[in-house]
Formats: sequence, C-alpha cells, structure tokens
Amino acid sequence: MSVIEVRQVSFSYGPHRVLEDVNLSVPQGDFACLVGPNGGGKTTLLKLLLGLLEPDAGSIRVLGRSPREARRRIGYMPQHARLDPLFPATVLDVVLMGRLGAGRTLGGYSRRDYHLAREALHQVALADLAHRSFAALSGGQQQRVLIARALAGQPDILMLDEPTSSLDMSVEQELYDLLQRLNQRLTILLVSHDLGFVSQFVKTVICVNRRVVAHPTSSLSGEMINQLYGAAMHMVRHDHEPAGGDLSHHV
Amino acid sequence: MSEFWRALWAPENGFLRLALLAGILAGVAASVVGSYVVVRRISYIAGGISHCVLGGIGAAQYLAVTRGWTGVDPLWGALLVALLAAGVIGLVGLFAKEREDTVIGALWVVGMAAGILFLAATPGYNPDVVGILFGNILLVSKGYLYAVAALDVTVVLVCYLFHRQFMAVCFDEEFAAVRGVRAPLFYLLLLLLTAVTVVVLVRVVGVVLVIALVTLPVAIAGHFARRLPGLMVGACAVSIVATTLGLAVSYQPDLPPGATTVLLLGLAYLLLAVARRLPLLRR
Repeated sequence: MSVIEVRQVSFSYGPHRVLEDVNLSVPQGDFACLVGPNGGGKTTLLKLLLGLLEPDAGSIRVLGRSPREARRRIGYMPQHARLDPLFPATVLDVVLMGRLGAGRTLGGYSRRDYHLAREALHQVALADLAHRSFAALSGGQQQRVLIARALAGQPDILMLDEPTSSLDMSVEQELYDLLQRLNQRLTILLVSHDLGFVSQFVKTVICVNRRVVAHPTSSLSGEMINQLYGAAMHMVRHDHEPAGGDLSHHV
Repeated sequence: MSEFWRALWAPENGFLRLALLAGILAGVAASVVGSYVVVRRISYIAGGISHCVLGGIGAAQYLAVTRGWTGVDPLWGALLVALLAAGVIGLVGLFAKEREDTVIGALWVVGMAAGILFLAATPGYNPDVVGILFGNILLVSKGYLYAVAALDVTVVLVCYLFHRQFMAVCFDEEFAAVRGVRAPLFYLLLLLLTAVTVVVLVRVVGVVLVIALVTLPVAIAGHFARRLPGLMVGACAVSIVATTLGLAVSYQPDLPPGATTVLLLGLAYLLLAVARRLPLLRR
C-alpha cells in the first residue's frame, strides 16, 4: 500500500517551471531520500506533499487524502537554518509545538500533550535536556529536538528537509541510526544532497531535478549515480553540491 | 529625584500619580506585544505602523476643526490609520510580491507627511507637535487610564488564549501551518494587536519614541529570559522601572519624561550589551 501518490503534478514559481509531470508512489514503511541539485525542486516537492503549496496541475494524495487533510499525520522537520537561533524557548517548549492542532485550541497544553512531548524527547535520547534552553544546544542536539517535535504529533509519515546539513560526521551517523530505528514503524521521506552517505541507509532514492524518478537503493551502482547526476557524483561525504546537470532517466 | 517622590504624594499632584500609573499600565501591553514583535523580528513593522499614526492624528484634528467633528478624540483617527497600516503591511507580507520592507518604509513616511500637512492645513490651530511626536505623559486623563487598562486586559487575554499559536507562528510559521494553525491569521492578529498597542502608547512616549517602548524593555529582558513568558514578565518589570525612573529623573529639571525614559532604556540596553562581553559576567 502506498502512503503517498503523486500523479502528473506540475508546479511553477511564476514563469519558472520547477516540477514537471511528476509521478511518484511511496509505499508504507519506505525510507526514501529525495536527492538532486539545489533548485531542482526537492524542497518544493516536499512542500507540495505538506499542502504548503498547491500544484498547478495533477493530484497528490497522502494517506489517501489531500495533503491539507492529511498533514497533521505528517511529522515535519524543516530546514534547521531557517530557525532563529536566539529564540527564547526550552527544549520542551519546542517539542510541545508538535502537539499543536491535536487537542484544544485555547489556553495551554494538556497533560497528555506534555506526556507525549516528553515521550518524543525520550525517543531521541534527550529526555534529560527538556528544560535546557533550545538556543544553548549543539547543532546535532537541536536537530534531534526538531525530530522529537515532529514525533510528538504521533505521525504516520516523517518528512525531513536536509536534516544533516551543518552536522559533523559522527553526529550524522547517530542521526541516521535514530531514523533507521524510527523507520521500523514510520514511513520516512527526507531531503538530502548527500547521496553518497545516505544511500547506505535508505531503501529508495528519489531523484528530483524538475522531473522525478525513484529507484530502489539495491539497484544503485556508482556508475548509475554518475549517470543520474550527469556529472561525476561525489561519493565523498560533505562535498559541494553536485553540478546541476539534467537527470538522464533512461535507467 | 527625591523631590519627585515627595511631590508624588502631595494631594495637589494627582496628575503625577496618574502619569505614573499610565506609564506602568502602558508598559504591560507594550511588553507582551513587544516580546512577540522582537522574537518574530518585526520591529521595523511596528516602527512603520507607529509613524503612520501621525497621519491619523493629523486627519482627525483637521476634520475636528474644519468639519466640526469635535468630540472625536484624535486617537480614534490614529487607531483607524494604525489598523489600516497593519492590515496593508500584513497582507503585502503574506501575499504580494512587493518587497515588504520597501512598502513599510513608504507607509512610514507617507503617514508622517500626511500628518504634517493636515496639521499645517488646520486653520487657527496651534498643534502641540512635540507632544504628538514625543508624547506627554503628564497630560493624561483618567479616561486614558481606563483605555490603557482595557488594552492591557485585552492583550493579556488574547495572548493567554492563543499563546501557543503565537509562539509557534513566531518560531516556525511553516511548521505551525502543517500542524493546522492558521499562521497568516495569527500573524495578522499579532500585527493588529501591535497597532492598537502602538496607538495607546502614543500618548505616553509619542509617535517617534513608541517603538522604543515596544522593543527596548524586551531587548533588555532578553539578556536574562530563557522562555517567552519569562521574557514578557521581565520586559514588564524593566518597563515599570524605566517609566518610574524616567518620570522621577525628569521631574525636577522639567525635562520631557517620555524622551528621558527612552534614553534611560537605551543606555541600560547598551551598557548591558557591553557588560555581557566582559569575561566576568559571561554565562
């Protein structure tokens, strides 16, 4: 059963066509990685799946419903760099935001919200930092807090936008270990431009460069990756963006 | 300064007690709204709205004299213009492709220019321009005090009821939207609250200095607060101390209290920013 169904979706920012005739099906329990050059449409596709953007054409179903209806069952982790590093909030404050939209509208969080937020922190092994200032944490810890925030809403799907940017190697490894554990019960979709490293962990690689093609990782070879990027693929970790050549998709 | 404390309790100095109370009450709304404004980094928007207000004050004054609309407090004109400005800036930021800061800057100066023209065109009227620009807390009435108290109650209530949504929208608008929070709605509501607060504060510190009362206490409290509610309470405390000191310091030499308060806040903020760089005080 697929949890995400994208049919013939196109999207443009003004005159600039970002995604064209996209078809995509993500099965339940998948661990998929969206890869592709900057500006290739990875984040745009993610935002379409979250209902933050509306497609110009085509249809998107998430968990059998429209993205707007389904998105409370999606745990979303945005690009970390977008957040204000000085924001006055504790770790628990941040994780609790993941409970928004789940309970009452007015007033404070319920006891159940607190319980689920703490549980989510426990899952990312940060329970003892609940009352620390979010701003004072390391980059890797902040990423885990944001994953906990996504988990606090008890999602069926986890969507992460560049979760490993600005992390050093060992922390990145830890993060993927955590995601692999979570993948035992959640479908995971993440955006990365670091295919070389990610391909060890994920089950499916979804190449996004205006058009979209998905490949099971088992069928990936170095030669194929070269072909996908249209340029030498840097298997070296934390290198620069691969050159933005068109994806050749006669694989 | 001791002169001030003695004068404060003299029976004939009711205006002084009124002024002090008005300053303290105004600081509450300013601190709560200001905390969101500062963490959402929209001080510039608050500045734009507050300066626009001059246009509303000028127009109301003009209509009062030329059209006989007496009995209409100029502050109603200010309120109308402030809400309008907040709405325009908010909608432009949310939907238009215009550069937001350019629009804010344009509204800012157009509002002020319109105000000056209205005041100049009002026949036989000698406006207290300095009072409008820099406030005159010593002239506040009891009615104004009720208005500020009502504002405080409204602001605190709205922020208590929707604190989670406001905080989420300030921290991460996109995530809030995914969680089903109507982020644009709460952003607009925040701007409207800012507009109302700014208008009420104009009496205390004037059009030009309002932005200081909204941002500086929060900036000072921000050095110590770890959470948003703490930031609000801290900013309130700073604001109360500053307003009281501002009145006290300015009383004997007969200086404008609004400007004195703002200067004290600015000095405290600068000193704190420097002091925190000294190794001894580093956390």
